[in-house]
Amino acid sequence: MIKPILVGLATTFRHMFKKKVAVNYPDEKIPMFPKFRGKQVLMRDENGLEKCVACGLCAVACPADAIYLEAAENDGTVMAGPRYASLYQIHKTRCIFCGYCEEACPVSAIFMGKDYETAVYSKDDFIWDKSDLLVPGAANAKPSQQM
Amino acid sequence: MDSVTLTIDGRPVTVAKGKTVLQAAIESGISVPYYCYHPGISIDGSCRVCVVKIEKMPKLQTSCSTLCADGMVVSTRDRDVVEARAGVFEFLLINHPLDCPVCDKGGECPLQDFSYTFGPAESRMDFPRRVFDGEGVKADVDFGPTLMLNRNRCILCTRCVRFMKEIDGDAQIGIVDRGYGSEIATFQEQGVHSLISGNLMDVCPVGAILTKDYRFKSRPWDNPGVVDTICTLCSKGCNTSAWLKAKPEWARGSRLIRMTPRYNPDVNGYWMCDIGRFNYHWIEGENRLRRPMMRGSAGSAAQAAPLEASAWHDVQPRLRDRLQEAGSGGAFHFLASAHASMEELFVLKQLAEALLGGDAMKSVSIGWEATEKPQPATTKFKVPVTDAPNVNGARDLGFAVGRGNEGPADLSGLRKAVEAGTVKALYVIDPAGPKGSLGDISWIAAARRSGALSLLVVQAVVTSELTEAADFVLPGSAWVEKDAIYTNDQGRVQAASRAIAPPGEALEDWQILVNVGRSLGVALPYESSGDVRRALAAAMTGYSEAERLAFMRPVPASTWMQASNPSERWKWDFLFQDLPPTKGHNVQMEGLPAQATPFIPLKPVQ
Ligand code: SF4
Ligand code: SF4
Ligand code: FES
Repeated sequence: MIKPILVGLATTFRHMFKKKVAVNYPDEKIPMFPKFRGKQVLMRDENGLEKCVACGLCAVACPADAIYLEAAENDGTVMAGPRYASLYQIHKTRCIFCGYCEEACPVSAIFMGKDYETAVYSKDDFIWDKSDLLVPGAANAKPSQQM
Repeated sequence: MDSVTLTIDGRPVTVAKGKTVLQAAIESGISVPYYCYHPGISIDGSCRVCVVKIEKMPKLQTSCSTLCADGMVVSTRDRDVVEARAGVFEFLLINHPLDCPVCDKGGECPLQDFSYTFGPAESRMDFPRRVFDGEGVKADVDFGPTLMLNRNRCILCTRCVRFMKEIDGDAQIGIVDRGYGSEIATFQEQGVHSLISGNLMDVCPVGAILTKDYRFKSRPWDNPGVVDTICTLCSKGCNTSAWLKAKPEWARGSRLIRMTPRYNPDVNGYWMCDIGRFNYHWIEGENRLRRPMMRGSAGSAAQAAPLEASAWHDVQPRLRDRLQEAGSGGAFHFLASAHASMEELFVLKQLAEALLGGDAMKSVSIGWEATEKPQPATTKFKVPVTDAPNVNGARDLGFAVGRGNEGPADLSGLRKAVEAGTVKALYVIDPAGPKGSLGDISWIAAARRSGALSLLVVQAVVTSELTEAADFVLPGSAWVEKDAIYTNDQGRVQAASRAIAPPGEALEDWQILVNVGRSLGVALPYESSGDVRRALAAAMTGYSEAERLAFMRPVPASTWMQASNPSERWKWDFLFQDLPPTKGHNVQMEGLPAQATPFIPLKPVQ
């Protein structure tokens, strides 16, 4: 009768002096493995302009049909080419984080990021649009002049 | 007809005399690539990708410009041919930018298809590509009001040059400079100004000439649904395909994404005009009527009350009361646009006969507009003056259409009657776009405002001056929103299929008329437009086949990837026969001009 209690307490005390595994989330976070696939990010080029050319290959590669985008004419201020994504949406409840979009992208504009905190309060926020996905631009991003 | 028999790749092939080796190969399902050849324009022989080996000829020959002869032995797979062909493809890709991801042609591009099939997998070119106007944003330059041009992509096949010279009749495009510096150009960079300029996007086998309208709007694989229909913007009735863009269910916006011509040798050949190609945005536009509307709720005294959206079941009884009131005065008149289909005019005729008896045909006016389109005198694709699809149909139904397709409708009689107050109630049916199809009819709105007309019912698709003056506005549907038949200026009865549903509470126009008739106690025993067609086929001479005309629903694009481009669809039908066949319809109608097969028949899969 007393023995199991002692065994249990001994286990408890032994673990009290071991290194802690749990972290104090959300104040502390564990680093993700290099190949972890979280919320996508849309990249910018060396001039701070958007890389995405709105070709739609990510959308067609996506097995979950989670990506919707619309292309528009660019004057050189948003990106270097003639065509940019005026609308870029990923539906987060559809995305299965397979990473096919990253693989399909011919200009390396979309990458699987490390962010896994995808909970939201409203169903309207289930859609990530460009402002959620695009990496913040450098404050003084200038349109490229080299052409 | 004389025919010749030759051997291609060991297979005996019999074709009509005068065909080229390339045509023979295509007809028998043997893959030979081609760029400068287009079935709708003359032969040029400039791209050299169609080379084949012909026995007893010293060199490889371009099959597109070699006529078939009896006993010819042709090889398209000989080692020499394969190597020479791959060489040509490698040359073509030396300067062609690899910007397929941003090119509107990417995914339905003959340069992609043929390069992957016949060309080398890699380029050995280390030097920078030739650039004309610039790269990136600067590569695309303005090419007239409807087009954009990217000279870096051009492969100098001269299809566009020949199209303008032969079909348009005004050779606005030419090749300037020589050799490595050759580029296509227009006089002083003015661009192409033509009523059929949109076809240039279809003839160009690469993404060098693109329309501004379709620019960046979609990728071919995003347009999975396409519907065979016809254009109803003039009396020609070009056979067209309506393309629908697929979107995930949370995305909004229009679905109708482009119109392209569909091959019909007897009507439009491979082409269509820019009016039909670009004038469709209103169909899913802001100004569409989506709900029925009526004024106030207190009888005819409510003329000053604002128009309010209402429900059909509220509008219907009020409309019945007002129509009965007006009908008892005997000054009731219908004004229908010749944009109304056969079904609609047929129901209208029955309705008018039941309501107005012997005076019925006198109490229905048919309206349409006619505009002379500026085109070169030598054009091979004449756009008719009549801006309505069904003037001949109205005539066949017995309505008075005056000179028919030769000029605009004459509504002066009706105008006099309305202004003199002999016509007190007017029911207008106009299922055409923003400007309407009845010409200047501000006098109708003015008559309603002045009180000369005591009742104005407008069955239309978009808001206009007329709908604003009306007492009742009934939302109908545009031509791509209903299955309907129209009789074009050749007397050919053609089917336009429903590609999308009418918006909101809008109904198909025949249905509105049937509902109105039923509320007035007229027995119109139709439950579908097919019922109307059956009745019509039974009642009218020359239309007995009307009920057998086939309509289609969007079909999956696996069969259609190349269908945007008539020449490519043709290629698709013959070269890529492992795919399910594309669908065709159109039935020969008795008593009408003989109709050749509207589609090149599919070859059996080997
Ligand atoms: S990760 Fe996979 S499911 Fe998610 S958006 Fe990319 S392709 Fe689609
Ligand atoms: S623009 Fe197109 S159609 Fe004209 S020559 Fe160049 S590739 Fe041919
Ligand atoms: S198709 Fe024969 S040379 Fe171009």
